[in-house]
Amino acid sequence: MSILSRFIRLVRDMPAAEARRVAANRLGFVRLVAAACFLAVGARVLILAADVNAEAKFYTPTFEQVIRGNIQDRNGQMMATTLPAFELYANPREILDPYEAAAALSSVLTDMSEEQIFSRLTRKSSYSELAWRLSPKKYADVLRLGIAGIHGRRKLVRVYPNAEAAAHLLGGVDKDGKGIAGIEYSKNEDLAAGKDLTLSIDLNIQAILRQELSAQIDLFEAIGGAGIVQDIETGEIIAMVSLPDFDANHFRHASDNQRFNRAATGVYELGSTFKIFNTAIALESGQFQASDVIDVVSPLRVGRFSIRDYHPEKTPLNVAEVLIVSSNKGSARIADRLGAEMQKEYFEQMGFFKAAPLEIPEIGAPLIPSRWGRAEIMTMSYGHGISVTPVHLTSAVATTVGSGMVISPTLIKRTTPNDFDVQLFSPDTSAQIRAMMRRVVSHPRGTANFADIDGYAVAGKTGTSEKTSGNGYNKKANITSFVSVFPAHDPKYVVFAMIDEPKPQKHSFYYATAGWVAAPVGGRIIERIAPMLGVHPVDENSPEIRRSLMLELPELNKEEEAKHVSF
Amino acid sequence: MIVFSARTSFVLTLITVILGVCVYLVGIQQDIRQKELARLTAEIQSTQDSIMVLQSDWAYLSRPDRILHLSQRLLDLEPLAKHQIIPADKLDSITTPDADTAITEANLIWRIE
Repeated sequence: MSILSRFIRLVRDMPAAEARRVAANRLGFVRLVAAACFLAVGARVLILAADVNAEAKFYTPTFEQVIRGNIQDRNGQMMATTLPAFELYANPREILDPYEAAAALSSVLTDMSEEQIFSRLTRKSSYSELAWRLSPKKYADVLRLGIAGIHGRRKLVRVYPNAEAAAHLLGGVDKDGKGIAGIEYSKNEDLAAGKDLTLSIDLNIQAILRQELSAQIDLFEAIGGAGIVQDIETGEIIAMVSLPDFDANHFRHASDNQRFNRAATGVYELGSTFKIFNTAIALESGQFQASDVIDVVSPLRVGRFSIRDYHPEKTPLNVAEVLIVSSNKGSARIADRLGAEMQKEYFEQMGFFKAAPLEIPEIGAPLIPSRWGRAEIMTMSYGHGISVTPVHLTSAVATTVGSGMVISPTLIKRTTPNDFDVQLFSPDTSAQIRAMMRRVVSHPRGTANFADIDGYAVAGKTGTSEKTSGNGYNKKANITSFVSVFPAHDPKYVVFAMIDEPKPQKHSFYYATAGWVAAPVGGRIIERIAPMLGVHPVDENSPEIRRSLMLELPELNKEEEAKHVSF
Repeated sequence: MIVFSARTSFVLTLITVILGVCVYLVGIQQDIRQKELARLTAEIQSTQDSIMVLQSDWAYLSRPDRILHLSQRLLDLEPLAKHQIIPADKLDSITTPDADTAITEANLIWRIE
């Protein structure tokens, strides 16, 4: 009171005349404040009445949630989309007769038995889930039963119309629609914000790849397989299949084996397909010419290992012939002369030292040796002692036989021109490798004759390797693979096919090597997809194509001539 | 003490009444628009639902393995063979059909059918 009285003098303490004046001033002040408030409210009302847009600030329409973006293939075909559905639940406390209710519900909810429904209806809680995604029609059927205590909640669920096709790439979402695997996981932020996504995948090619691999797996009683089709120029993955696979609509029920992506997650010693890179490095280094002769006859020992060939050779072969007949000894001798540093540098540039930059979380990291001794260099030259994923292999092949630029793979459609800027191999090296790979398929001594599809000038390389088990190799369990490009003189696509643990069959004369298992399926895939990809058949005997694939093969041709003479 | 004259009081009262009417009208209008908005929201939602259902229906019905299966069952067509694809510049090398097998209009229609 004493503090306040120091600032505000009470009117009753003043002389009469001054008191009247002060009181009038104060009243006037109060009136002004009241008028100002009144005018402010009035002005706001006038503004609201005049300005229609101002309404928006007070009422914004809110939908139940943003609809998750669609995922489509490169041609706009839907791969993942969202559908309205209903979550069905019961409040057991409101259920009058659980026996009757369970009996009635079991006629609509066919996934569950009457007993299961009954146990859910008698749970001691006020919420018991009956179905987490029910189609609007089934939900209407449930409502028509008119059971008290059964409730529904509208929700959006993810559906994958193509079921198994590309399931590994798409991944899946949890009950709340959040991505938990594949593209759904890695692009969750964009998709959740309602953005659509266009993949590099072509569903038509994907379907063919899956069909052909699946048929070959059945034919050879194999445990699985993988396949990739990749655009050589852009690095885009056009198709990627891993078998066995699963229905993407039932991601939660898939086994670990089904979910495992053999094409991008699994790392394998891919065997002789690595000879492509060894030969390319040899030519690019300038230390070797395609016509240089390599000793593949005398025994080759390094430390306690002995390097042997599947078909022992009787005469020395040149560098090109070493690749065509797939000589381990020849490749090892070449790598030995090139040395560790060079092999290491090229392998690193080709991306073998780190996981492939794909847009899915399930990507396997390569297994490379900790020390690069002589034995390691030599075995790696023919694809042993180094494990990479099939995506690593196809990208490296695209790099080697394409423009020579280092290609990076992608699952997202590339719209802008590529910015690949590392020239690893010269056009001349690439051309020579293409000619050699063409002979692997077309020359009688090549290992992939079953892939020689008339008109598409297929070039490729097979690889058969024993699977590692424990500390050693399992002689009975093979990984057979075939990596190919077509057409050889101007390659557009890389096609990779891998069959995991094929069993020797009577129809294959008890062979289960890549030439018998993986090469034929590679050929069939190319035969079917080439017309769809706009690659037209060519006359392989035309002078231009013959010239671009020219190669000197003195030993192999001599052998062939000798054979014809003896007949 | 300031005392308002009768005229001032009248003007102030008038302003108050006008403002009151304005507030009432704005309120009514807001009600109408909110109802309209709710109707539109529901309509958009049901259209969106239809779009979603039709999109996934189309994707399901046009999936490649189904089309392949149907075409094998119902169409008398085979995949393109190598000899059926000819580059445009090689067209003149095809032998011209003689008079007997010349493509007449009737023949052509039969072929298309």
